[in-house]
Amino acid sequence: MEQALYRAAILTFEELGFMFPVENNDGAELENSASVNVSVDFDGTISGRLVLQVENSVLPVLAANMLGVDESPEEDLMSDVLGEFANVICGNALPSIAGKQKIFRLQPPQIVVRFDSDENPSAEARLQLDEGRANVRLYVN
Amino acid sequence: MALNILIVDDSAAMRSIIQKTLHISGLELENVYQAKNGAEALQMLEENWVDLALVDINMPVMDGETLINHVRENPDLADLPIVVVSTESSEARITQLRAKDVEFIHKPFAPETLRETVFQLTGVENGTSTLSGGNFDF
Amino acid sequence: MKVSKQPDDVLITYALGSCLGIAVYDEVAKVGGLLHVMLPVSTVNPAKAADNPMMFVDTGVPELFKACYKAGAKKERMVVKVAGGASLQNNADKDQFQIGKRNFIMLRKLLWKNNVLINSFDVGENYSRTMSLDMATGEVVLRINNKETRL
Repeated sequence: MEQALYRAAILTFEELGFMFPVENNDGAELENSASVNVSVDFDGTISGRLVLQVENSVLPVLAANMLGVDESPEEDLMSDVLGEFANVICGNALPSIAGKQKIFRLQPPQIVVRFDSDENPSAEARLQLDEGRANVRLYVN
Repeated sequence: MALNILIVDDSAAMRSIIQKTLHISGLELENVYQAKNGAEALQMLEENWVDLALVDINMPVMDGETLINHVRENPDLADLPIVVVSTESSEARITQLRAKDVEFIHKPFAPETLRETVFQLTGVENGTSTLSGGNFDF
Repeated sequence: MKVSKQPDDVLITYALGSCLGIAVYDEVAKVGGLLHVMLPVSTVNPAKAADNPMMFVDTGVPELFKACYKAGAKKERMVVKVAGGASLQNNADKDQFQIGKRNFIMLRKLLWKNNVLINSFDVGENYSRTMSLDMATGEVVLRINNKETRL
């Protein structure tokens, strides 16, 4: 499950973000104060939530790259970029975790100001980019 | 022939990426319409001539699959060429969608893939790749 | 970098490994160019970049386009073809720097930001490529293991 999450996250950063992520298994937790979280709920054969957390230094570069512009866009559009990004990771990770014939429904992404969970994620992918760090957590119910 | 294209996606960022791709594809465009969900798209389709629709699946209010069903059941719209642009990677779902006579592009996609599919569906000759771009330095 | 408007020229770049070959051609002006870049970003070595900007994707590619404009090419007519970016290690997992992949991601970002799409490409894998651009036709040919294919 962890490998599937890494694969989906790396593919999305490369293809949609034009960024170059490497696995960072030993990376520390990201501080809530210095990062942005977005979550995508899903249901289907398995249900749960995917949470993407990126450091503040990553988001403006990611947004400008994705949109193909030089300046980072305004805040609303940046949040939308992050949501769509999480959505793409989630849509790519789920079938390789649960099986290619399984059907899922993804809910619209939600920006979460701080994300605290006592629960351990079912799988986690920690990535190091040139611009900072990003974590993807998958919680399966 | 200048094309009228409708982009249906709940993400403003994705609509913007698709719109940019269309504009730099070397296509002759008349109008590029944008809708945030299937319901908005249906209304636009009733009010405007559209040559091709690019449709996301997971959207609030009305999802892409429901939109496609409405379009295929409406005699005035039934022949509309549709490209589903979605994160969907379930083979079962893709098979279901293809049965509704749509093309499929998987997110994340290279803009070149989108251009190629649009060229194929609209029967436009594949031209050159680029358009001169506003303030860019090359 | 080579730029030409002579129809009897054939521009060639040899043995592209992790390097990228970028061919651009304007069929109307019959102007084209071929660039061989080695590394993704010039910021890793500003001294080298000042000395030879053509080594890097981020500084070399704009120079290639500008040199073609100077020779009469127009951006909206330019056809862009790309080859190389291989990982020549026997085992891709051991290629920890993945320069070939980085080069191609950097190129795609740069072109996307500058409103340019690639017409065709052959990148990755683990073999070396020789790339040529025929100035009379704009045809790009790749030679891989002594076999020629059109890109």
